[in-house]
Amino acid sequence: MSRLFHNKINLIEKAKVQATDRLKIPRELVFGECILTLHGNHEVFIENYKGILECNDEFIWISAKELRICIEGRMLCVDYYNNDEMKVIGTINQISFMES
Amino acid sequence: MLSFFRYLKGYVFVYLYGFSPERFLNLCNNHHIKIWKVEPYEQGYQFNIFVSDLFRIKDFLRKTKTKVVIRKKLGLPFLLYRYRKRKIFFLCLALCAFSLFLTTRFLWSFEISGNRTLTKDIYMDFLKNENIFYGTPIHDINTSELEKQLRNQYDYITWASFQVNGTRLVLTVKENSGIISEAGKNTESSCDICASVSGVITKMVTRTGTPLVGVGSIVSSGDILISGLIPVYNDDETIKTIHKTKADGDIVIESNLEYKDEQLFRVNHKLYTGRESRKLILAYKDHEFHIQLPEEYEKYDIMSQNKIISFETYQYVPIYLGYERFMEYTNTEEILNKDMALCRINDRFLDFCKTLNQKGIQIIKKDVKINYKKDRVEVLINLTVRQSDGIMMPISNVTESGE
Repeated sequence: MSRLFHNKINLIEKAKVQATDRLKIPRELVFGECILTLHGNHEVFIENYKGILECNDEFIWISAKELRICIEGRMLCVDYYNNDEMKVIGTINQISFMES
Repeated sequence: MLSFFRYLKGYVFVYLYGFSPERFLNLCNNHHIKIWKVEPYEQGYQFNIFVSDLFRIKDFLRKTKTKVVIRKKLGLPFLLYRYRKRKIFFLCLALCAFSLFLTTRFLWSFEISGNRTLTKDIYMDFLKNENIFYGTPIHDINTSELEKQLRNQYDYITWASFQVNGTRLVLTVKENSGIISEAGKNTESSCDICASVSGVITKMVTRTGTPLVGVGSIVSSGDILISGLIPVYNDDETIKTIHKTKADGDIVIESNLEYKDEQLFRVNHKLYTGRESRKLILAYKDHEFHIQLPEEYEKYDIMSQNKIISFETYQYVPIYLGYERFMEYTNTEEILNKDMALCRINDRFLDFCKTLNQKGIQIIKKDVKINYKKDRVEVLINLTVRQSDGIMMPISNVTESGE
């Protein structure tokens, strides 16, 4: 029963992906994927995030849908954040993703 | 702009610490409480938050077991609260704002453009006659009436536009240059030709007018050479009428010119050492305020440069800002022999000849006398020069009555 249910979900997901590709709808609208806009290595804009997990001078952990984003660097600071967007400033050395 | 509105609303810089500050941040975000400049600090975070939101976070603090400490109070509400007892200051501030508003109701500057023959002073005089000057209330200015008046007063203005831009009256005009040149011709229509130097006339050709002298005549400076009055005689040789014309002709006069020069055998020269200092000057009319004192030298030249500080184009404010350059020099003495001294005089004379040549004066003859003295050599040169002469002078009443 659970296998059948699992297959059904997989089919829906596949259909979703196909429909998105065919209709050329942005993936962030359908799947809620986060968008990272990097300006050099001094500021990064993060959209579609869920919340701040941990914040430090050297790294910031942010949770997104099915992802955890880790921004590593020096003198990191959250310039502002709201429901839609977050701006992180400082010297960014590395951005890594972890599936949650 | 955003920071300005934040300043107006008033915000606090706080330090958040405790069990779960991250959860607190997320809770604030979910409840649309604006937080910015989040910096990690010791065990928690420091950030800015609006004063109004500070009272809404009590529940979140309890829920997340965190505490908040106010570090700084920023913004206009706090500033006003801090200076609430300084009533005179606020009164002066209000007065200042009111006076600023009041001054904007008056005219404080003029801009004139498009004029070619009529000077700006003429337009300023016109405005003065129309009772428009610095400090005239703007609502008293009727621009269309002024345009009409200006066009009526000056025929050769084909188009005029007055415009009030803030506290400035902008006048744009278009002048008809054709009529003016016609008028100019009329004023120059009758004139005499007079001698500008004393001497003997060697050549004379009269095109228009009555010649009063001839070749070989000795004339002195100011004498009329060709008169602009042409008498018309009756049959009995009495004057019927006198026509006025513009006298025209070519006159060449031979005259004497004296050139005198001397050269000392001992000459002092200034040798600049290269050391210099500057002194800043702020001046109001004749009163000078020295901003910076220069280094002291034994012998120095001063070169000054001043600039008028003017806030508006036609508004003269007698405030100068400038500097004086103090350039140090030492005296050196040079001893010349007779030949060298003569050579120096000769150089200067050649320069003088060059300037004469540029003026169209031709040297015919020269007599040179050299006089050697104990400490100097003196040179006297008598030059005979030939030059074309004749200056236009308006016909005077004396000449007319004399004729």
